[in-house]
Amino acid sequence: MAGQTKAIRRRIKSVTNTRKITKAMELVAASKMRKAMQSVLGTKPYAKLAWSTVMSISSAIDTHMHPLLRSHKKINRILLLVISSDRGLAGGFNTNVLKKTFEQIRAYERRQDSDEYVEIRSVCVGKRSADAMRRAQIPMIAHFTDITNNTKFEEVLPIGRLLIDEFTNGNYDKVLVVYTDFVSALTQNPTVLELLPLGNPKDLTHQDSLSVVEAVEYQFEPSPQIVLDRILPRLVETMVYQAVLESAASEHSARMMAMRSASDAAKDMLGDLTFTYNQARQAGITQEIAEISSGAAALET
Amino acid sequence: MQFSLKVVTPERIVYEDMVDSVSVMTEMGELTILPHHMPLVANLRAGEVRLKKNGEESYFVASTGFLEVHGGNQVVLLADTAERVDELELEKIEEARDRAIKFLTETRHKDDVAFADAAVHLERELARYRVAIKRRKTHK
Repeated sequence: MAGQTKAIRRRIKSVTNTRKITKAMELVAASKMRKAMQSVLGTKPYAKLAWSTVMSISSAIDTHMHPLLRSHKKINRILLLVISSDRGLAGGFNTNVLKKTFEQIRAYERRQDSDEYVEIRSVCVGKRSADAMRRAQIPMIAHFTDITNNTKFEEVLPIGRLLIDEFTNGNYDKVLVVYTDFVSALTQNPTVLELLPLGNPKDLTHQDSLSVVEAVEYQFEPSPQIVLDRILPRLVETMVYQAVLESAASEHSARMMAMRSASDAAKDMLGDLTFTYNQARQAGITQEIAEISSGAAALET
Repeated sequence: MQFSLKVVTPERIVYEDMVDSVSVMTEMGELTILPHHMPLVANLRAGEVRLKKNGEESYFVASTGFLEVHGGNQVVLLADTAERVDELELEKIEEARDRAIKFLTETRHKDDVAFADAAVHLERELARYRVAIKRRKTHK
């Protein structure tokens, strides 16, 4: 009897400790999520305004002359930017992003005809996606870690620049981004975004109703071409930045939810264990009393 | 007569209000926007942004970016970084400037891209430094 209650007591203690940890992680994730959410909201206006500037330029000159806007006829080489987290324990966060990534890769491989080839390479943000790419043996041309926490714009610049360079040099025909769109603390959607060539304004700003640009005569300083040369890379970098931020917010909220359910599960478990422990203890006491009284009864007779 | 001004960086909205005028550094030189300016898009250089609201001037530092004047009395500044002058701390800026200069001399003989980056970085820090010095004197 004594052995059993001791074992239960030990379990109760360990579950209590685990619960403390998950509770703490939940709180940390919640505060990080709040911060990440603020930065997500902060970047949206920039992307939106930058795009509307591009739109107003496009009324002045033929924007399809720019390499970042030109779409390639044959899609043979694809570059995937996969944004995941560095750490696990975030519920289905990384799994969902990676599932989406591999779905995408399979879709392209299936489209492959006999005379065409498809080459897929990846750029990874976060340790988790890098590990998965290595396991799946998809060549990785770059790998960024430690930037998903409290990200600064300067920190994602190299990613954007890398993608732009690879695309403008003609190494790839298409650049896709797989990230997790932060809808709310409860819902996050893994999303695939066609980053380059820049095309559909709808995808860019998550805004379906971009205000219609009135046909106004804009004056450009120094010239439309130079302005465009500067603003398009900026736009791409902002989009990458936004994708990283959305993913960070999603990561933290996914972790928060995972940790909350872990804490809840620990609480249920503690209730059950305490109940069993009390039962075992009571059974021990009852038995001892029975032994004593039966011993006394034996003496009397 | 006022117009609406927004100063936006990729990280946040730095300023959003109605103002009387705004002066910025563009690649073609300093430019002051008054109400009813014609639609314009210009590239910004790192430098001071001066804005006037009800006769009071306030100062910002912006780095490279874009200025867009919309038809309907709306002006948008898209800058890579932008801060209010009160947010600047001279010691930190001096440190950053020295780091930038060091970095520039280090990369000078290595490769062109890093050198160009370092040059841009230095230009931004210098702009901050200049504005911080200038405005500190006028306020004290």
